[in-house]
Amino acid sequence: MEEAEGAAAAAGGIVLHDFSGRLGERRVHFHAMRLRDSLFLWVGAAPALASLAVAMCSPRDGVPVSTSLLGDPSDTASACLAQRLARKTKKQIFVSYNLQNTDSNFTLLIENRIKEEMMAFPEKF
Amino acid sequence: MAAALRHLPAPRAAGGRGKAPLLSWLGGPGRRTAAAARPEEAMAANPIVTSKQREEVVHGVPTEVVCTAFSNSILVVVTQYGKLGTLVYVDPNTIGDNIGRPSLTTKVLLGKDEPLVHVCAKNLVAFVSQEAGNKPVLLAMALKDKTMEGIQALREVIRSCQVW
Repeated sequence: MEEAEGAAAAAGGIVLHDFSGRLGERRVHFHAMRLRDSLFLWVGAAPALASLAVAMCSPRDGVPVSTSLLGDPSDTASACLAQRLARKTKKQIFVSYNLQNTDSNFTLLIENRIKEEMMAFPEKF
Repeated sequence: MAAALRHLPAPRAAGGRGKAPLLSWLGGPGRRTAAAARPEEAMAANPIVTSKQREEVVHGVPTEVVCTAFSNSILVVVTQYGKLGTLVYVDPNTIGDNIGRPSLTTKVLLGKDEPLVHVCAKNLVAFVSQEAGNKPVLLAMALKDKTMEGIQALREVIRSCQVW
């Protein structure tokens, strides 16, 4: 099984990965899709997709550029998370963040959970 | 390879078509079932969203399709470059046309906004939206072959990844 997954990743195939975490009081689910040089990541407590943003590193600027693609453009949670992950991974990152709670402490927990999973399963991201 | 074969029957039972080529299931739903059984991935035992994935050579072009069902929409990825490519939001209007089918609005969220993109998007996923009970579809497509025949063949691959 492991070899098959490794081969798929090496061939550039799309790799799907689901994980979850108990953050604060609630269980938060994550659905990652690893593509060629890019990553799609959905975050939510219920299985809805209500927002989408994309971010990527810019050659001129230290801060990755981001834009909102779907949902309320004034809600920057997806864009912020995409930006932070783009900085970490240097990849193009699509994020769909579907949680009401967007305070900075909570999003930090979310980010840490993602980073933890990235460390544990680097071949999935 | 032998390990992958062992899990072959699982995805078939989960709705796969018998004629599916062997390799296309390497990345299929069976893998997740197997992974969930491993203790270190116990947290991933119940993914909240359902996905189906398939790899197939369509008119000579290696193609990957991933469909994911969300409660309010369906995500369909059709790629011949391994990337998401152009993102199109295909939204059924509540007011239908005269024969009762809702008309579809296509909006390019990211990528080249040209007529062919809208035509391809509608052709590829109109049936998905309809069969899912008129849910909007978020389509990510990166196509080398945009011919009519190519699109038709891709539609069948999408159909084989039914999650709606």
